[in-house]
Amino acid sequence: MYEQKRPKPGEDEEAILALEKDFISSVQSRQGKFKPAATAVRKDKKGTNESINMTGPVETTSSTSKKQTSGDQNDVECESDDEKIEGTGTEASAIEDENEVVIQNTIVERTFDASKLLVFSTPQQQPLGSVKTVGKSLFSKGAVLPNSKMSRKSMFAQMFDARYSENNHDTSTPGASSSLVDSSTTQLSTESVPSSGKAKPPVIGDMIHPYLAGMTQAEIMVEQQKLVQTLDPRLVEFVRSRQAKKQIIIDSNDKIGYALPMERPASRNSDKVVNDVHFPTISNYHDMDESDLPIDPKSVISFPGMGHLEYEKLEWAGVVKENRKKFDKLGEGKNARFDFRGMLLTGKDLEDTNTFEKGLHHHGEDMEKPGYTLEELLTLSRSVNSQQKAQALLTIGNIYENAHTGMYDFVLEKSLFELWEHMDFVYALRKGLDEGDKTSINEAVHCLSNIMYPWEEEFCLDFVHSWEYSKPYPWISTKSRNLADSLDPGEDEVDLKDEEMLKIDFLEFFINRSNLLDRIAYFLKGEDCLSEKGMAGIFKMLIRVARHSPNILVDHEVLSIIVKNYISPILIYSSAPTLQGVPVWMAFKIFRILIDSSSANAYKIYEHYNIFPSVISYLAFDDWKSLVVKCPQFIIVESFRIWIAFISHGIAIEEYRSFFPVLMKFFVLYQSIDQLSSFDLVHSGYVFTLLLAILKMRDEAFDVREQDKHSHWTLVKDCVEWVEKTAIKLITIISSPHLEATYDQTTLFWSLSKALLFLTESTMYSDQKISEALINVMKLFLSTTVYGRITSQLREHSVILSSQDTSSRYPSNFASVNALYFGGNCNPVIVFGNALALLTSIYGFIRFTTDRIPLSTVINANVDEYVNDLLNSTLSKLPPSFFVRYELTIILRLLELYPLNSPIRFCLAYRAASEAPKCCSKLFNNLFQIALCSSCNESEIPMCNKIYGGYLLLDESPSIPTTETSDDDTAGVPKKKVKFSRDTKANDGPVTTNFLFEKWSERSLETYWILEPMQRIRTIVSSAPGFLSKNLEEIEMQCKICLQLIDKCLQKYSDFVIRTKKDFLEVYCAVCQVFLMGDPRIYIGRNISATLARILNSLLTCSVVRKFETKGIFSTHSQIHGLPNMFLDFYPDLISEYSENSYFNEVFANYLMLPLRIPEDARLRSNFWIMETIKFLKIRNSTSLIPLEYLTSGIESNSTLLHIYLKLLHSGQITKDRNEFLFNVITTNIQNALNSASVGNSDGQMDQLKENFLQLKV
Amino acid sequence: MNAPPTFESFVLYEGEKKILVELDTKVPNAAIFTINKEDHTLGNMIRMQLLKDPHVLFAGYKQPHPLDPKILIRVQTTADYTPQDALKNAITDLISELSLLEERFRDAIKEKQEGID
Repeated sequence: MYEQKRPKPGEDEEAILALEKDFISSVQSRQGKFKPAATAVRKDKKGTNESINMTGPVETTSSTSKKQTSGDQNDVECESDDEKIEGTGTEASAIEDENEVVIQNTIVERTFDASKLLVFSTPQQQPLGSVKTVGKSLFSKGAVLPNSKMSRKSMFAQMFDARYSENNHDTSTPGASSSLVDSSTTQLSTESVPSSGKAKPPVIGDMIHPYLAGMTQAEIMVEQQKLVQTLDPRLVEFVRSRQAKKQIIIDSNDKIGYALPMERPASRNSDKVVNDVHFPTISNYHDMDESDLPIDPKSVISFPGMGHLEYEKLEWAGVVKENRKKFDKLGEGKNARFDFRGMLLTGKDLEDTNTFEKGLHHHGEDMEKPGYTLEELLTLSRSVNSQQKAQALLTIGNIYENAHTGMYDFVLEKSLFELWEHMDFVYALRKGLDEGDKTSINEAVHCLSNIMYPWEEEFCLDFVHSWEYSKPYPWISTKSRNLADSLDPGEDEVDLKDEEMLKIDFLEFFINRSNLLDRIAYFLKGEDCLSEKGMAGIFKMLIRVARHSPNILVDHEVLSIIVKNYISPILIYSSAPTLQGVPVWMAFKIFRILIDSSSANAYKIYEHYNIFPSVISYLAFDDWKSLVVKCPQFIIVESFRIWIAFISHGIAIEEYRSFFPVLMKFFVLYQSIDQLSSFDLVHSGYVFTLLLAILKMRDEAFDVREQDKHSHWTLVKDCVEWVEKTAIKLITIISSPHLEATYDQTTLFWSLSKALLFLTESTMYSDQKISEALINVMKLFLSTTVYGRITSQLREHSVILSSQDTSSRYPSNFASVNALYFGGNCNPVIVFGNALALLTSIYGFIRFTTDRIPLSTVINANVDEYVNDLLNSTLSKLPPSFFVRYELTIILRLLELYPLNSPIRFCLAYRAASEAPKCCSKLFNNLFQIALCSSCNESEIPMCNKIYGGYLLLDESPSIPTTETSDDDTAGVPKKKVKFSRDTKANDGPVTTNFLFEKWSERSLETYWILEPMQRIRTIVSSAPGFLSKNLEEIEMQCKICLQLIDKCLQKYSDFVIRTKKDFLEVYCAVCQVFLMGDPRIYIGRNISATLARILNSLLTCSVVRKFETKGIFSTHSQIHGLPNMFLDFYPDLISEYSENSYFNEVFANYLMLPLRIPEDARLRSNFWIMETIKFLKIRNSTSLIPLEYLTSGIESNSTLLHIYLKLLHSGQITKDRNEFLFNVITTNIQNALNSASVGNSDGQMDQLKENFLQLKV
Repeated sequence: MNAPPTFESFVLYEGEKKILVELDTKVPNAAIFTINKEDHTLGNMIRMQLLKDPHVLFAGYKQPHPLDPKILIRVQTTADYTPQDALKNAITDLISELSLLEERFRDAIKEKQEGID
């Protein structure tokens, strides 16, 4: 062996060069010709980067020569893909950077191919958020994550490869490259075509190009054929089979779709090389066929700690049935990697050398890649090293903070939030709170609070809940979600395992199963002082807990600790150092949420927690800038909100009576209100809201006497002028487009809408009309483009029109603002939201000034279009979204603007009402009232209210259990029975009926609630003999109103109201109740007859009739709602009613004939035909409401009925002159039956029938 | 147990009228006759007789409740004819028809007896 001494580190570079020279010469002297695998190169002094640039790539001759052979990228890839690198060789490249010497050392046994760098292997299912697909804009700059194969190379090697691919045309250091290429020591070079002497392998392609360019495609094919023939056929076969295999792999990539559908990196030179790699797109992902996977990816999740599919483990667990081969095709996946800010690292970041500086490299797996996977972070969060732990928790927290914005919704194949469902994950987070050192605790609190607290949503909800009809807002517990219906929490909750609980209700788990509140209480007591960030985290968590359920009020000391330590009024003036940095406004917010939730909770807070004095103190604190607490302006806002929340429940009236005049005096007299409002529009908005709340107190069901009503008014009437002035100012600002950039639209719109609401309300009290100035400004505003733009958003952000499933980003219990989408994008669009809220208040305001503001200016083209779209839109099959209530509010206000006789009113109101979610019964009532009132005459409105009042006004009567889902602990559990009292004389006691909205979850457009009043009238009438004759007029009108509603609904929405034959029967039976009242005078009137005729027409034309053309609709044995018995028993009753009582009413007769279609049960129909008084059914063809074809399509096969027909004709009960229509029906039916019999087998019976029939004709 | 005494179905109380007429205000030439202490036996008969009258547009009867021994007959006639007349005529016709029936029945029995004797 060569015994010369080796260079040592620190030796002079010149010495190294000398050593090398020495070595080469000595070897050459012994072995003859020799070329070293690597050489030391002297280089010019340049930047480090350039020095790397100058060096050749690390590459073995084998791959180079292959490249030279084929010149075809695909083939190379094919080869390389198949050969699994077992990682035997290591590749070491070292840069002794400061010296300008690069030593490249390759170990030639390595089979490595530069082209591998660019082949994307199939990533596989990764339980921990592997990268799925790329958002539309997020990574638009283009990025490629390194593929799994890359991990076999060191990061330096990768860099070299990248550089090489960029610079493969100018290998500017011939010494280096030639030394590589010419190396003949490779063992694999035997296959290569002897062209290894060529220095620049890719040049072959360049040479071929001009040659090929001169040929036509056919010529190329011919040449190719010739070439193939010269080759060994076995070789061709081999290459082809390889090619086919490769294709399969690429295909499976497509199907599985976990490969990165990254946008093609546009700016990178290496693009040339990756041209042929197929990038699956997003749509591929959706087409993916899960059956192609050897195992259901979801099931892997159940194996904790298994970051990716590992065949051995899965085989051991007995869950994998496929063979190994198929499994291997899956390759490895790509984990999403994040930096410390919680940002996903994309291709560019992964290549950026800055990642070293950022400390994103570590000693775990994939140490060459920057960033951390979530899995790694979770492991690190349990590290014994506290800094590591803290950093990991911080990063996880940041990741979730980003995730809440929806940033990762489309990027990661698995939502980060779904990780909640894993015990391991949650356990790791919760454990962080119990750590010993402060840093870790602080970070753990930060992390957990970031996970729990979607800040955008919170920001949004604060605004949203201040809009009209926003209350009650839903708890975010699963109790208010359908999800839990099947599980029925409350009963089985205790039995749920922790894992199951996590899946259902993430927060519930934390509150009840992890002692989170105890721990928080401990922190709040100040025994383990947390940092500012930690305190904020604690309050954030509590805010979410408060949003989750009111349980925190009952069974925990946390709130009392907060009151005692953080919001006690004494603390304000004492400039207590303990408050320093503590976000007291968050503490206020916790209370405000609870107060807002229901009056019961508000009372509880008022009684048990002494927060009101400090609220007032903060409001009265004239020098709020000097407050020691964090964000004093937020505290003022929150104080306002709490006060408003209390007042809206009618609580703390005494306090407001004594304090409010002082406050108002303070505001008005010292003009600090102007100061306050100029400081922030949010504040003025809350002042308006407060004034409004005071005025509106009369609406609440509390003991407010008449004089109080006026005292409310006297309190606020001084402010009207100021509010009006401000409103004018605000409208002027909005109306001038050039000012647009100078104000914050969100708050301005919101503030203005509050001002308008107050002014609208105040018009009810004062005799003064709204000032001319305001109306003029309003008129001006309505004509501006700003108004046009806002109205155009109506359509753009309509929830009803988009009728999309507003499923949450969150798997378990986060009622997410993404339902507020309005457009479908991820952001809660608060700007649009507030603009639409402004529209609501504008419409509400204009309602009182319609005489002065023409309707045509209000309802511009945009609104018109929106309304038309709404009218023509199909009813969605999705359950109504919670956030649709705000759109419905706009529609409600808009509807109030339309004149009473406008045809739009009914349809729009009905359409909107059908979209109302269960929790908004007040809104629904109002919409439905409009629908009702526009379906009847003005004189009938009180009656109409009376009929439907029992249903609609349920929640407004204090004695009746409330229907709100989220009002109390039994929220979400629909009450099956509700008692309601009727205003009728027949009322002997409360009647228990089915709860009207029982079926709301299915669809509010159930026939049920349209028809129920009709059934009810019938029940009342039949319950007391003589009741009808005494109240005939009233009953008649009630029936008329009910029928009008049914008529209106059917005219517009028959296909939605009647979807099944059961619906059809229900409508039919409900309408027929009017005939069964026992007095023909009810339905004999001309108006009501016309309504009944229209309903019949709607029934005949509805799609169900067409659908069941050859099947029976009426021949059902199932129970029909509202009928004590089956239809088979109901129909004879109807017939006998006809002959006993009806004056042979024609409409009645038509209804009677409806079940006479031939597909119906013969027993049912014979009831009609054997009726004694059938001869008095004198309908003529021209007067019949039912077309003849309806009753005669199909062939009568029942011989009994045929005989009945004949007998009717024989006996003269039905004659052509008297009963034209029936005669036609009978003769056509007989004729059809005879015709069909003559075609088919005719037995004796038919012959006889025919004979008889012919005789008759003669 | 709760059944009304049987006599209630045929004994008129003091002051109780056998027949009551109520004109229908909404429908021209229509009236409701309430006949106390009668049932389907009479109701159906009168109804069928009324329906045979070409001037009767509508005739129907009902017993509002099976335990309530009364029937309501609703009659509507053509313009030149009142429901009362229609009912009277129907009853007269029924009486004569029934007496004819009785007469014939008696005759038949007589014949039979004579034949046997």
